[in-house]
This record gives sequence, C-alpha cells and structure tokens, in this order.
Amino acid sequence: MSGMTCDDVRTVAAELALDVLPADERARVLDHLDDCPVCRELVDGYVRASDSLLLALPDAPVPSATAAAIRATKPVAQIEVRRRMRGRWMLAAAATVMLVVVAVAVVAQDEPVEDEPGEVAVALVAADGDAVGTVTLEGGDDPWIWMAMAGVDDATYRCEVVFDDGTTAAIGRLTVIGGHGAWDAPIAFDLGDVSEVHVVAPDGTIVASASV
Amino acid sequence: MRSRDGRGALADDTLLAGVAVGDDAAVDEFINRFERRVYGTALALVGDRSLAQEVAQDTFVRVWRHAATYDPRRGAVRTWVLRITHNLCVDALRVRRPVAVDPMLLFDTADDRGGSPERIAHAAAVRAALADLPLEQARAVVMAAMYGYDARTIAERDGVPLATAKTRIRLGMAKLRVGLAREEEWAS
Repeated sequence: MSGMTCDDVRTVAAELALDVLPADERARVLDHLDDCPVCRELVDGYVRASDSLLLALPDAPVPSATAAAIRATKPVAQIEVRRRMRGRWMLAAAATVMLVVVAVAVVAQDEPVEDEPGEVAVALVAADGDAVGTVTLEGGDDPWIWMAMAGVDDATYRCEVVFDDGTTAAIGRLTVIGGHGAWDAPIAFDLGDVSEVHVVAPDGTIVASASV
Repeated sequence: MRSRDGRGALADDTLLAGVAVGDDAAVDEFINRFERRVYGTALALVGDRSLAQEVAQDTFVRVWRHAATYDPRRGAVRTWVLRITHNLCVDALRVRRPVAVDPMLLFDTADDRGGSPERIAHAAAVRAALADLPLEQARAVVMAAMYGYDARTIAERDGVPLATAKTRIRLGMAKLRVGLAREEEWAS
C-alpha cells in the first residue's frame, strides 16, 4: 500500500508525468497507479501534453559535419553480425515489429550471439522447445537487459534471473498485449554471475527460459 | 540524401523494425527521416551547436541499441525518438544550465522553413495554449517539461516558495492539457 489517496496523487500527477518528481514520492505514486486506472488516465493525459510540447520544437537544418558525425554512429558491428538476417528483413519490411523479434529469436536459439563486446543475445525458449523471444544482456559501464516475447498468452509476466549459486531475483515485469511485448531496464548485478533468465506467469509457471 | 530500395515509403515503425535487425538501408533512411527533428530539438533545448551534435549522435546510438525493444503502445516512433533526445538534453543541461527560459521563444518556428505544415500548425497550437496560461505557469511548465527542472529548482530560480512552484506546474499542466485537447479538437 502506498498510503496515497487519489487526491494526493492529483496534486503531483503532472510532476510525475514530467519526470521531475522526487524519487521517494515517485515510488509511492507509482504504487498507487498500479491499482487506480482513474489516476493512470490522468497521468497519461499529462504525458500526452508533455509530448505535445516536445513535438512542437522546431526542426533545424543539419550542418554537414553533424550529418557526418551522426552517420558515423551507424551500427556497423551489428550489421555484420546480423547480415544473415537480411533475407528475413525483406519479408519483415511488410510485417510487424514482433515478427522481427521472433526472427531474431530463431537466430539466437542455437548459441548466444555476441553483438558487441560484453553483449550477449540469447533465445527465450518455451517448455515445448519453441523460441518465443529474446534476451539481450549488456555489461560494461551501463549494464542493461532487454527482453522481448511474441506468440505467448497476454499477461504480465515476472522476469527473473537465476545466479550461478542457485538464488533467483525478480528484476521486472514484461506485459504481453496482443501476443507480443517487450521490456528493458538497467541492471545492478554482475552478468558473469547469471546462469539463466526466466519468464514467470502470474500463476508461478515458468513459461520460457534462456541459458546465458 | 535519397532513400534506397523504396524504404522512404515505409511507416516509421516498420522502418525501425529494419533498424532493429541491422538493415543498412533502413538505418540510412531512419537517419534521413529523423536527423532534422532530432538535431532541431537538441539545438532548441541546449542552445549550443556542438552540444546539440553530441546529443544527436547519442540519440541515434540509443536508437540503434534499443530499436528491438520499441513498444508502439507507448507512443509513436517520432515521440519515442524525441523522448530519447529530450532525456539526453536534460542530462547535458544538468551540467550546463540555460541562462533564460522564454516559453514563447522556445517554440518560435520563424526559422523552421523545412518543417512540415502539420508540425508548424502543431507548434502554433502549442504556442496558443501556452499563451493562454499566466506567464509564471507557462514558465514553470516549460522549465519542468523541457529542461527537467524539479519544483525545488523552479522555486529557487523564480524566488518563490516550493509549494508555489508545485502549484504553478500543476495548474499550468492542467490548463495546457485542456487547451491542447481543445486545439486538437478544433483542428480535426
């Protein structure tokens, strides 16, 4: 329980939507929003207003040096690693994002794919052996996890990591709507200590897992 | 720069799916499509060409990195991209604060000759909605929404109690939300 009422939330909903609410208050408001669709709608309205401001900022001509600097960021390494996906992309151009996610999962099914130093992509595999998504783990200074699933029941799943010593930790929630969903977050543990990633259904069943 | 293989006709989210799997032509088209918006947004917020370039570069790096986890339920691709740009600007401005905040100047499109008619009309609607607010509320909203200032910082900058700054943000955003909804209704 957050201890916050709808009236309390209404006084700070705009600050939450603008992402300027102090962390302690933010946590309590988010707790309230979990169970209050009315306040969620209020915050969503403020987020839309904030996005409207952002979208109203002017375009600007890009100086040639800046254009070159932007193009220097192109993910050459990823292109090389994923070049074998090119044939699939021709089909994916007319398909949905999640079809692509599944295609990536198929590639990653057999063995981890090292996209960049310190980054590993592995398939999320269901109990029947089908790939239903991917997990990408990145180490380094800014450790991060990305997860995407498709072709599973709509639900909010718990994402867990299993460490080498057998202990587990819940690290977030992935919501699947319309058969697909994705989630990402920074992580605060050593990737070298992780052996598996599990996706757990609300009833506690492990619906998919990935060996890291 | 011309798009290759007809990718210029693809919807933003389909193009991003191509980026997610490392399609070179999709990456090129994505840059062509968004670089003016990204750079323009960064320049408007940080007010410095060199810093705006850094922000634009970092924006695209994050797009390449996170393309596979883009979730269309959380907003259009352009909104997603500009949120990344905005977050990077806020981070950059934590080190270098802008000297002055003029809500009307920020959304001035006088030099925005390359913008689409829809976007310029949208900017006009935002200016109109902001102009309807008391100036101190418009300033508070812009400082929070665009520069990431929290209520305490706004209170210090404007020399008012914290509660006053929080009220300005709340009332300003509430009116802006209604004002923008009215403008959109009128426009449609």
